Amino acid sequence: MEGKRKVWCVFGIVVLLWAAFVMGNPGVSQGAAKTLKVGMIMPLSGPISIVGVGLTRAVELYFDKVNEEGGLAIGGDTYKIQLIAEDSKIDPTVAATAAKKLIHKDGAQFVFGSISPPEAAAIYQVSSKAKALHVITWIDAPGVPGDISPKKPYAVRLISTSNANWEMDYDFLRKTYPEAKKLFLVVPDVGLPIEKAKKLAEEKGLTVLGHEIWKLGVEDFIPYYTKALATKPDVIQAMNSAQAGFQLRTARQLGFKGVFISDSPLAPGIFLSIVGPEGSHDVITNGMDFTKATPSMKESMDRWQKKFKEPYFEDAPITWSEAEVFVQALKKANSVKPEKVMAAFDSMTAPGSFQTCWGPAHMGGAKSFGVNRVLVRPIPMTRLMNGKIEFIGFKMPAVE
Amino acid sequence: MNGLALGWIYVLMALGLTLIFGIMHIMQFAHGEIYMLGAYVVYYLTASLGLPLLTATALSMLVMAGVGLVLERFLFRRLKVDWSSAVVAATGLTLILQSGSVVMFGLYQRNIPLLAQGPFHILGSVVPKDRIVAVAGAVVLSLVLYLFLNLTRYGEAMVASAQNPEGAILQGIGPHRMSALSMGIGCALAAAGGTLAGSLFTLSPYMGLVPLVKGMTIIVLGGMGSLPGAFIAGMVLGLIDGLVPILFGAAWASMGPLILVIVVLVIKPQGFFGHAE
Repeated sequence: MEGKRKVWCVFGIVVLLWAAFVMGNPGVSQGAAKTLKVGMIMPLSGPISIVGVGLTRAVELYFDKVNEEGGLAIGGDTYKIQLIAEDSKIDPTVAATAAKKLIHKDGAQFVFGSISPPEAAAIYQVSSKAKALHVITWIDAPGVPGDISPKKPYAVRLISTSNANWEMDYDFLRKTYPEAKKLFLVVPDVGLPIEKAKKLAEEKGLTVLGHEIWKLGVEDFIPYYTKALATKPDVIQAMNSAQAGFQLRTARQLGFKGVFISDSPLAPGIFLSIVGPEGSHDVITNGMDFTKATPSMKESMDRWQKKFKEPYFEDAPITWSEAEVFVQALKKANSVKPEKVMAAFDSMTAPGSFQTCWGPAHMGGAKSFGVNRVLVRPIPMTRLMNGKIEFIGFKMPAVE
Repeated sequence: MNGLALGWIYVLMALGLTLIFGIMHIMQFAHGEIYMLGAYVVYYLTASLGLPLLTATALSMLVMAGVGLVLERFLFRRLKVDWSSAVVAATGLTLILQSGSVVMFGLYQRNIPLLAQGPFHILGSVVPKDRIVAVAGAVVLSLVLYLFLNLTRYGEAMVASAQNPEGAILQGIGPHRMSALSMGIGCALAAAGGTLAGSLFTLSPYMGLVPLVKGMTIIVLGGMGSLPGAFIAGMVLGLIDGLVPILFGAAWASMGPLILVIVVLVIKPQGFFGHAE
């Protein structure tokens, strides 16, 4: 009898403790802010973790800003945004597992990510079944598996691909270097529409001498640039490459003195640090000159410095602006339901529908993709001349 | 010329591995991390202290030789008798050094100053000057090693230890001293190779893996413990890596060394200059 009484006492204490925990939980009590869980899947370990961590931190900083300003007022409730980051290890299987954990265990209805098309495809396979919205943060080439399409009602892409920059780059080239007409393309093996580039270049009055395709992971560009320079180009375009700085160095080491175009967001400061002032001439890039940072970019830089006390990751504005757009879509939808947020994105096609750190933006892409699910926002253009960075300005990419 | 430069970087790796294996009879899997650390030491000496590249390289070689002495004395000396323990220790050391480098140095793009700017124009071909300087530097270091091994007392003692350890001990040549010397010299050569690679390509905490694999391929092809074999195999591998991508494409460049290893192992399992036991 004594033993049974003890058991019942212990049981009663446990029940009381549990009740206190549940009822005392501020997330459940009425009147308190709700939590909107947003997942993000990026490579947080391994050789390109610097990119994954940098892009994740930028989103985290923007959500911190929103929370500090009182949270998101949606549909009569106030939401604090909680970012839950998972490591994809650049592996689609791992990315899919991370997506399952975020959606089914953590309860996220929105998932940002990742860095490569196979990962994006894997994430969408999981998120679409749960009717969660997949925000594609990065894609190497348009239309690859993992990209948006009319058959994917739960995917939206908040970044344009580098091919959208070609028209502005060729226009600037023709205007600034009218004598430079012979172009050679050096292209990574990611499925970029090379024939479209050639056709566009020829429409602009350029002669495309040829192209070389290199596999991701290559560090030694001498073989490719040896072949490129054998054709005697006036202009070399390094397409969609985070290693454009090393490519430029290789070209200059082989004696190339012509114009070099990099259509990736690689910052001009990185070119300078890799190539030095001697080689940093006649370089056209779509990277940002941070001495001309917009107020929103400056805020992201300040927040970065305060929170992380590390050098600013120069691709951070990319996902900072994606977070800006996401929050604006939530407000437009006045709902946290993925279907309604998706409908909001679909409706925001007028120029200036969004305000981003790059400038006014809108959704587009219907002509190329069948749906307006690509964010069209300004792209920076800079030129390096004699070791100095010249900021040309922001231009709208050609996303149809 | 690009192939030659690559080849000589691999040779520096392979010479160090061959020396260490020849005397200590352990496979130093952390040699790639020594190569990587040597490159980072040069980066910080040039970027933070503004030292000239040559001075920084010499200092880096001394520093990494010192690291090698410490590793030999406190880690590998007691594990030499058990081959499997040495392998486990070397593998663990690789992971520690690599992960530690990621934390310490981060993953931001970095590079060592160029060895030389611009190209030479030779017989209608364009050859980057830095490749020529890299080849020259590696040749000089290899020559210095050759002279050391053949013309100095300690060098001859090392050769004797590698050929006949018991006989060398009977002649009064201390095995621990020879191990320390081989480790120090091996690490210094790896640091030099890392510096050349860091100048020609990029710095990364993961930059040591490929040269380590190439170095091991070279000592398999050239013969375990054979310095002439390491030279020849290094040149062959470097030429494959330099010329095949241009002539036949990247896919054949990846397969070439592997096919060569298979062919050599089938025809002569002990390598070009190795001896059957």
